[in-house]
Amino acid sequence: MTPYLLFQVRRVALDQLVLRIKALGLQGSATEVCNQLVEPPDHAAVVAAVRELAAIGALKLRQRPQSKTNEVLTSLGRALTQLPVDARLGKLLLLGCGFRAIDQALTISSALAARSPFLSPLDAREAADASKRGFARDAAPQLSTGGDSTPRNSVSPYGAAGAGDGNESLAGPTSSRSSDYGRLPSDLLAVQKAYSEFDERGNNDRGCSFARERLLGIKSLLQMATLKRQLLEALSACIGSQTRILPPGLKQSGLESLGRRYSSCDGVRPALDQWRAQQELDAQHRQERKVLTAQDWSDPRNWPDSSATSSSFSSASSSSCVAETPREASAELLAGLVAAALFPQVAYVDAPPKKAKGGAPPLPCGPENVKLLVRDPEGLLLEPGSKASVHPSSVGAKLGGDGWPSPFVAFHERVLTTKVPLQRLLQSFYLLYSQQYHRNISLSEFLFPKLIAFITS
Amino acid sequence: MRDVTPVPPLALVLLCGGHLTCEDKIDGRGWATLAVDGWLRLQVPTSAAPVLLDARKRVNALVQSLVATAAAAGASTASGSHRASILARLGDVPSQGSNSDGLNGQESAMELEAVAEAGLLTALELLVKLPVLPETPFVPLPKAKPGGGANKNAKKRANKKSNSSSSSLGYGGKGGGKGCGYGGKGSGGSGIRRHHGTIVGPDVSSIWGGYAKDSGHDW
Repeated sequence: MTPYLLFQVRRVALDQLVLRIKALGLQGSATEVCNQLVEPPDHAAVVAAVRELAAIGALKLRQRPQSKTNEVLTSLGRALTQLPVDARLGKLLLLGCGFRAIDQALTISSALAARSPFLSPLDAREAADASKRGFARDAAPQLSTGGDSTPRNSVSPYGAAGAGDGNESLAGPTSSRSSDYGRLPSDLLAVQKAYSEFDERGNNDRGCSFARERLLGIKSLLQMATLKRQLLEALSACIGSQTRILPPGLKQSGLESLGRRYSSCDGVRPALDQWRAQQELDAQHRQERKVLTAQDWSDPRNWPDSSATSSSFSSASSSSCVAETPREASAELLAGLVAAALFPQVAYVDAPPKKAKGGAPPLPCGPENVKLLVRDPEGLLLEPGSKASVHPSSVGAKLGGDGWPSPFVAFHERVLTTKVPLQRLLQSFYLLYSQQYHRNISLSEFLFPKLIAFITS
Repeated sequence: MRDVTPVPPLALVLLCGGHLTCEDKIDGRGWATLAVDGWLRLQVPTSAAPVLLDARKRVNALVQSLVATAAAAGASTASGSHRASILARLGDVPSQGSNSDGLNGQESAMELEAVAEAGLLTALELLVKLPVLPETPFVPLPKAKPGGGANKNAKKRANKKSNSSSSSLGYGGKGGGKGCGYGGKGSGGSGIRRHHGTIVGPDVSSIWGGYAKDSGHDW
């Protein structure tokens, strides 16, 4: 343990720093500029940040003489400097604007920037996992086919689970598992669904009881709401002035008051719905004007009724938040946008089957053997750089080889952990250090150094 | 690995990476290879390849237009005057409300509206139609290794599999019994294959392209 905390520039990701350096137009490469700092960050960290920004398209790398690289900020990079989030999350926001999934993109970005709202208490871990799975299932329920209203659980929408197998695959354990997880078992879609359901109920008793019932952290949800408002304000200033995608000049305070008026937690959905209704009305008005120019303008009876127009606008804008069903992007499109923002953080599902005896068909791979193959960061190797496992808290942690609907997964975070079971570790811990633990020593002072020592031993 | 999201293969083709290219066709059986950023290879029917390339162009145009507008808006707003002065030092941001593509804000917004409709509808339609296109397999293709040892072995295994009588299933393919694994017709020896709804272990070395290219983003 170091006696003091490391400088921030050595602890955090440097994407934003590199973007700022490039936006300021400082001379030299990002590495050269960082080396002039009082406490320069690791060279490898700067190189990794430049590489990541180039991978998502925020920087363009051009080879200079003497084997130096010239880093040029692209349009995406310039746009990302306007947004106060991680570069990948900023890209997700921009993509959400382009594909009319702004609210969902804001929710996912704020969830990734803040803490996860899913609680996992020790005494109700299974219930928490089930609740999370439920949100994932509701975010992307199984498709029904034809006039049959019953879900077609056994057949994956991507043809994964036994397509072409006739009716043989309609039975068996696969079908029950698929129905439990929905057609896209995604953590991010689960978060989005959980937040939207909480938001529908509002920050009141109803919303709080819902959060307690579904084991969601209310503080985390409210933090997400604040972040959403901040991000929407930044987005509105960024692209709302020149396009009709977003209303210009949105402010957090206005969103908050709008949310209170429409029983919404963050006020984002009512603001977007009102804007959409206004746009539709404007388009309708333009259409009417266009028709009238073709007619005889001399007859005042043909002129549009301004009072009717204003009343219809007010009714449309006020009722849109309550009565109209919001048009939402599909789960597949959302997953695609997430993958586009996180790319090249895409892994490949490796699920080798178990060999069966006696020439029987191979058995599906168990969840414990499912591995995710990750490309090496530099893209130089033919083989995947590393293998990873799905985190136990993830929705897909208990999915076997036949449960993954697609062989590709996008991921946001990869963490190096040990294989020591945490529960066992903590039990041993309490036995070993129970006396010290009862002396009101704070966890940060006591637990973490011991924990690290225990793991390394 | 946390925050994992399964991605529809078609979303990879349409939305991910900087550019999509069509590589050489495979052994004349009607399959084409699409490569995302030159390293993530997917196999599609030859007839579907131009449609996907066109859809990808539209989506790229939408995103490019949006991003250019956002970048220009940030430089031209009153609150961003300081940023504008900073960005002007870069030398590649034209002043007076025009973005890097030479369009002014109004033109760019109008273009964005038009492209948004076309690109969005195309992308959405394709994405939603994905479940009803079971005959379309998407597969990472083997990258030719120096010497080609791994691929030879993979080919041998593929032929062995395809000649066997097991009813191996394609990735959503209809051709049960044809030996079309996840790798599609004739290329089942590499990549992930599915047998009876099971993901079969891939030939690891064949998944990745191994290129260290620039992402190729033009936006």
